[in-house]
Amino acid sequence: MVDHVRVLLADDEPLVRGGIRLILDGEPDLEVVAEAGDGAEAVSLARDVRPDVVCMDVRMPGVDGIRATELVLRLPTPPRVLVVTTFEHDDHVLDALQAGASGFLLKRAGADEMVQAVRTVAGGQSLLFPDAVRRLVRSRPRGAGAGVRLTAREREVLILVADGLTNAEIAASLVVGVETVRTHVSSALAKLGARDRTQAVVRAYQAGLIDL
Amino acid sequence: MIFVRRFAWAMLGAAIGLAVVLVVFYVLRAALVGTLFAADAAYAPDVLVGAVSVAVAFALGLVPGARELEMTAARSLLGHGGDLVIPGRTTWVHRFRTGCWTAFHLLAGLVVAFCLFGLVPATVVVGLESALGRSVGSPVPVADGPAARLAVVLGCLVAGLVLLAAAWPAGALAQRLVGRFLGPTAADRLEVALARQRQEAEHTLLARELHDGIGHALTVVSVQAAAGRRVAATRPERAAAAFAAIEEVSRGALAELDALLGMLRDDRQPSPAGGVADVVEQHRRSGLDLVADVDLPPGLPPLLHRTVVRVVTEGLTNARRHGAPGEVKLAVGHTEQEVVVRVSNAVAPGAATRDGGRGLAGIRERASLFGGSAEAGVVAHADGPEDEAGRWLLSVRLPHLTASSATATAREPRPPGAAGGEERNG
Repeated sequence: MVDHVRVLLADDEPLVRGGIRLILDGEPDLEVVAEAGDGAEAVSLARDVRPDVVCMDVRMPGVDGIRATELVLRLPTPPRVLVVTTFEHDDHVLDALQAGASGFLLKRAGADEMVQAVRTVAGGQSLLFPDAVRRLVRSRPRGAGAGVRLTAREREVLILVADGLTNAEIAASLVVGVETVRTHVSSALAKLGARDRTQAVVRAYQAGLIDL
Repeated sequence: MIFVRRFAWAMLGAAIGLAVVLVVFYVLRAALVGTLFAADAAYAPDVLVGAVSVAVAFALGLVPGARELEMTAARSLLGHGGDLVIPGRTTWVHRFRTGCWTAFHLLAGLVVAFCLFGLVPATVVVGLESALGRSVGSPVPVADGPAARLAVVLGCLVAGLVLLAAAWPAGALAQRLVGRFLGPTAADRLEVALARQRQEAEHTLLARELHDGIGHALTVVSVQAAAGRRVAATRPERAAAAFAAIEEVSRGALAELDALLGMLRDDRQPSPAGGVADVVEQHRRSGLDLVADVDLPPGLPPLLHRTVVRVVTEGLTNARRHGAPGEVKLAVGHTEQEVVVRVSNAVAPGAATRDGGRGLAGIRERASLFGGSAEAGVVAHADGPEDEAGRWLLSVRLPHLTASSATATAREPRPPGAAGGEERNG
């Protein structure tokens, strides 16, 4: 767990940035270190200030949130990306998750939820808003399997990951050691070429490897 | 009931048809007495009377209102439920078809009338003669022998009954054919479809504008409210600022909603260039040195007109705010494909030439809703007209709403459209 989370806000609407900043800055463990008005600015600021989390508006003029997510994640020490969106049923959100964003947050979420979302994404221990991710992922038809084979145990673990469980919770649920769970999770991530738990769940579902 | 109506339809045709034939007959007779055509001076040749009568019947169909009358008759008497149209723009195809239909109606009426008033009485007389066994004056000779006479009586009875019902097949045939003559032509159908598509395109744009504009405002309101509540106790001055932002944004959104809904209610067309002229006048009154050349096509769809006014307003406001002192030029023109708005102003040497800013982004967004574009920047000396070189030029193209732009906007991936709007609370 990161004790002090440095956040970069990217949104083309200053009033939205200002509001989110006010909420996050009120938390002792969170700090907004920079604000960007478009995707290109977000990428260059992410390079310069090296935030832990980028709150990325999915729709921005010029370089949009999806492209910016891709670019930010190619940086040498990539931050985690939390996609911020007005509409949950937005194809772009799923595109951003596929591009490697760690989770998404609705702009209409309450202050507590926003703070929690940033912390969860920064920690990377569990999936953010698993129900919402599941709804979103299900909304798009599956593609063909990408030739990836998961073991039964890996699938089982991945389904619990999709439920939003942490490694410790999965270990308790399957009555195995935390270390074992960690091994299964990293092996599943590696097979799927996924950056984090969210991307692993999205990819595994779309390849038809797990049902949600 | 259907029979009575078909009968009435036939009689309507017969009455007018008979009038036409009689007039033609007497006029022709009067005109042709002693000529080559009517040597015996008593009768005009039948063929000529028939041909001229058909021509007159056709001409009757060309009289304004004839199509409306025939349509009413077809609907109420033939019970035709399909599409019959009074064309918005009457073409020669419509006129020709109405003429043909009218001629057909009168002819069908005359045939039915001839059956009823000519052939039916004849069958009665001939049948009666056979039944009585003696002539009562008809030229048909009475058959010999009881068997032959019985056959004639029965034949006349059947023929008479069949002929009595002559209006039935005539009406049925008319009902079948009326759509071809008074229905929409292929061009009519295309026009209706295009009009519908244009309207749908406009509604889609309107819905999207609502969705984007109001969605954006509500997002700001919700984020600012969440933030304000969070810091109300600790940083009351920031909470007050949040309230101010909420007030301003929601007020703006309400005004936008008001204007959009007003437009939906109000189908009156805006007077061409009226709105733009007002904006120009406002800027002149407030001291802008403005040269305006405005030429908008009549009957611009309200949404497009409103967008033009918005673009002009934003363009002039930007020119006044960011431009160097000097003349500002506004040109609003149109081609068959699009409306073009150009605003140019002088720029201070060395001023930022970065193409951006909230205003331009807004204009771009509006233009892209129509499948148009917006460009801004300093005109290079090399391109563009001499007097525009070195000036800041905003150029916006707004294509007219057409069927193809409707499909283009439908395919455009940007906003989530209905899905996002409907399931916002999901």
